[in-house]
Amino acid sequence: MTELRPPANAVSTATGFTWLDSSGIIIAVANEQELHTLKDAEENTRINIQLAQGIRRPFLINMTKLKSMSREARAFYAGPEPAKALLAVAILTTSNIGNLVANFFLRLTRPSVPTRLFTDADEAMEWLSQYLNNL
Amino acid sequence: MGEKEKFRRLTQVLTEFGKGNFDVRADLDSSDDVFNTMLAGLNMLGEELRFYKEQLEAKGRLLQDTIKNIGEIVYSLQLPEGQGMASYDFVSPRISQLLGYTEEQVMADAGIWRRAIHPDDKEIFDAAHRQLKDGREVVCEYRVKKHKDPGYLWLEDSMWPRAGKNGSITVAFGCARDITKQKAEATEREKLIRELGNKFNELMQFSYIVSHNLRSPVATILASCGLMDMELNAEEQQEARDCILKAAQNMDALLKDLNVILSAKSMINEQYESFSVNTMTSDILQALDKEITNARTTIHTDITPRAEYVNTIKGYVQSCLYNLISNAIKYRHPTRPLELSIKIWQEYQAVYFEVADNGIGIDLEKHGNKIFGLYQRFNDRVDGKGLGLHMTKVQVEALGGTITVKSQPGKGSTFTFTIRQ
Repeated sequence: MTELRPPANAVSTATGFTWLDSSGIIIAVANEQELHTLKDAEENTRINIQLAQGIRRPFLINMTKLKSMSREARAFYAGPEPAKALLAVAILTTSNIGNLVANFFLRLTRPSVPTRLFTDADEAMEWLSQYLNNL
Repeated sequence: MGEKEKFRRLTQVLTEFGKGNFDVRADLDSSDDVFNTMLAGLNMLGEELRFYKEQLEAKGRLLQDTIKNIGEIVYSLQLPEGQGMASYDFVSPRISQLLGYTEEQVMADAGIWRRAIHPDDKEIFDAAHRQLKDGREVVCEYRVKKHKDPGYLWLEDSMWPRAGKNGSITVAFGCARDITKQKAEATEREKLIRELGNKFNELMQFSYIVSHNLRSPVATILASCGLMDMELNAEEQQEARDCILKAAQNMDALLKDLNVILSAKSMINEQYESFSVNTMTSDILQALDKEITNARTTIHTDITPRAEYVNTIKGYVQSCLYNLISNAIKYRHPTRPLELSIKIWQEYQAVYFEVADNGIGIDLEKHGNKIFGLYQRFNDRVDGKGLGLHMTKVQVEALGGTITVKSQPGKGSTFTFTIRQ
């Protein structure tokens, strides 16, 4: 399975690392965090928009280590602002808690771009790669 | 953190949720075990539940404010199975302003509402509840007496049923609003339309009679003028001139009558004054003394103290009373002494004048709709123009009153007119 290791040019944020890979996919890895807040969501979205360079791109987020996300943060991620940079979202998690957080996001918030949950990074990348043709 | 401690926290969070406290949040450790996952889930679930609780509370407050401030009484009803009275399990506070009962009183005693309904309208209310039980929406109107207030309000009550799980109707909702003002306006409108219709018919009748009665003398004058052009001897010429003169005199009398009627209708130069009806009645009887004596009349007068003084146009009342008494004498029975009864009394804002006799009477089945008409006569034995009763009606109506008659041929007549005070 592909390991998502942040490259040297990855942007470091309060919640993890984010970078644009060579295929055109934005990738983020969340650090261990007790509660992902609205402020974190706004900051990460700002960085995604910067990295996207004016093009809506596929996005892979590994939230295995994330323990909780606030209601406001979920609502923000599902809204129009992140969709300015993102074409589709693959959520990767291998933990029970990450799976729980992802399901809250998927079931209760209803994201505005195609979003799917994965436990395998390769499958997630393969699903996202179909959107690369739309760039 | 051991499993025992995690289980204790889990129980603690669930207990708080059970109390409706969703603010509680459990601390997590770094493990990914079942307890930690459940605690993480409860943290997010608690936030979600808190959000919806706040939303519900805000909507509840909005609903309460709306129900409290709208002009209608909003309520919910429990409908009993079979016979029995519906009970109110919610009534909005507006009821205290409209009916004078608090919502608590109505909820504690379901019969209050029905008891307050006007006796004639209770069946409307009961029928509406029966329709509700049949699953039909109802809108009905009825009068309700306000608590400690003699007056009645008109309510428009809209009710709609809600079926229970087994399909039977046990709950209904309602909304009652005060339509007293609209009802009063509608009644006034109907009265005005009726009055306008009556006036229109009167005018039609009036114009018909005037044109008909003027045509006859005009035709006579035209024919006589035509004769004057012919070669007539002196006697024939005189006869033609007499015809013209008589026709002109008839026209003059007709125009004078019309002038009197129109003056009464328009109430020109008439003044309201306070006067004693007792004195006025005595004066009239005095003026007709000779005729009364000739008719061997027995007179009964009954004037209640409250009606002793009235404030109105004296000349009109005098004319009406004089006309009715004079008619009683004129149309008395030929073979028996006249018994004349004069009663005057007051009810609410109206003074009633009643003149009854044991005279020849009138066949109302035959003449009923013409009796107060212009130039209407029903007896050739006595001289008259058919103007008196018409004038009486015109004057009574000018005073805001009405006139009615009860009569039986051979037995007598009773005329009653009212004037507004």
